Amino acid sequence: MNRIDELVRASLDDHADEAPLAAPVVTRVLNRRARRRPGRLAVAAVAASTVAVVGIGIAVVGGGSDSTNRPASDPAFADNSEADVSRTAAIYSLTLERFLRDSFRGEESAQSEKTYRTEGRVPPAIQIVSRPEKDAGWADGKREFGDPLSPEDRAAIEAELSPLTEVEWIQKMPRIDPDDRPGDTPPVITLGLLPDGDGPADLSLSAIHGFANGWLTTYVVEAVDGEWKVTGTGVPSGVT
Amino acid sequence: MADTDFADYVHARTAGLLRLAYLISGDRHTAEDIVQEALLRAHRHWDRVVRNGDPHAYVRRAVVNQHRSWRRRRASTELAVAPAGMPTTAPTADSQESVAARDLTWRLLDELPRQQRAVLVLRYYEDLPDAEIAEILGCARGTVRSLATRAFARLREHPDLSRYGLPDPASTPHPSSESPSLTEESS
Repeated sequence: MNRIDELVRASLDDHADEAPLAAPVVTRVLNRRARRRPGRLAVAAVAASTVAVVGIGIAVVGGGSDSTNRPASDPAFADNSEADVSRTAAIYSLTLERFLRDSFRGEESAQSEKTYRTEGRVPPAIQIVSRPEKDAGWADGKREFGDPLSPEDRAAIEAELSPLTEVEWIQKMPRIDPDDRPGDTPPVITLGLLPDGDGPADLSLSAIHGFANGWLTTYVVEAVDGEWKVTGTGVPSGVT
Repeated sequence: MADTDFADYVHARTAGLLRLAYLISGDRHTAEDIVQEALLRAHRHWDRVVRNGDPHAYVRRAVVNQHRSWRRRRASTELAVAPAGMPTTAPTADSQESVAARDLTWRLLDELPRQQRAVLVLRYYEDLPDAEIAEILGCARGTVRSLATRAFARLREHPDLSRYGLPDPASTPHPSSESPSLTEESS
């Protein structure tokens, strides 16, 4: 071996077998594919299409758009998220994913010293309180709740987060035992109340993971060209 | 019918996709996430993917593109160590040097920009021609060669690797490139 390209080739060959095993990924993909059926069709966040809910699927009636005619959402060419769920599910899914990645990114995270002690990996399962609350439960004074998420929205959020983590929905915050440590139980997420309109607006999310280990983050969300995006962070935020 | 094809595809190709994803990302967890995400997203379009005739090319492109936009995580456990299964013959000074150089190269790959690393993996592990790499990355073939050249330059000039005095491949073109020489890569 006397050339750098040969060195690169040998190095890649050396390390290729360190790749993760396929079986767990195969199982997760095929299981989640089954859970996501029937297929979801694209509905633009601000489109005028009528949506009818069937079981856990979402079908478009009255000639809604078909995702197969939307090359901009082709995963092979871009990393665009499809606007193929309700506004509620779309905004919460987007923000939850950002929240989870920000919260569990290992050493870079301000919360990482107290959160799940991994190599910067989102826990394999999380719990989400199905009833949103003002400031994600961190508001002072009287508590203010929104309507519980519909089964359809919960299913859509589960599906959107499925590559990242398994979601379990709970009706209310469980009692946290003083002996509970991060990693013993899944983190419990509280959703803030969804803002009206197309933004920019604040949406808070909070998490409890083990006893006296909680944090709050507020994101700025807005609809950009018909697609919801997180465009920044806002207030309030905090760490217990 | 299409769904059954998808399951067959997943069973047959996931291992290879994970190796690709691991080599371009350098992180096992990231590799799992991006392959999983690419497969699930491809499933949504599977009928069209199959109609286009080359599902594997489609999904491979999706894996590379997923990685491009994936948030980089600090891979605290991805420490470059000598791989298991090293030659069992008595180590010689030359082979130790070779192992050390390969190990160092693996670590240095992590310092490359994602596009440069992806080109090296697609060229030297997947053995793809530059034309196909260009299609995957959405760039011109000349850009692929340029990315490879810049990647080699960065590796070669690294203080730890430069002591090996490795010549660049400029004198011998990449077998799958169409250009007879890499004359534009002199810089």
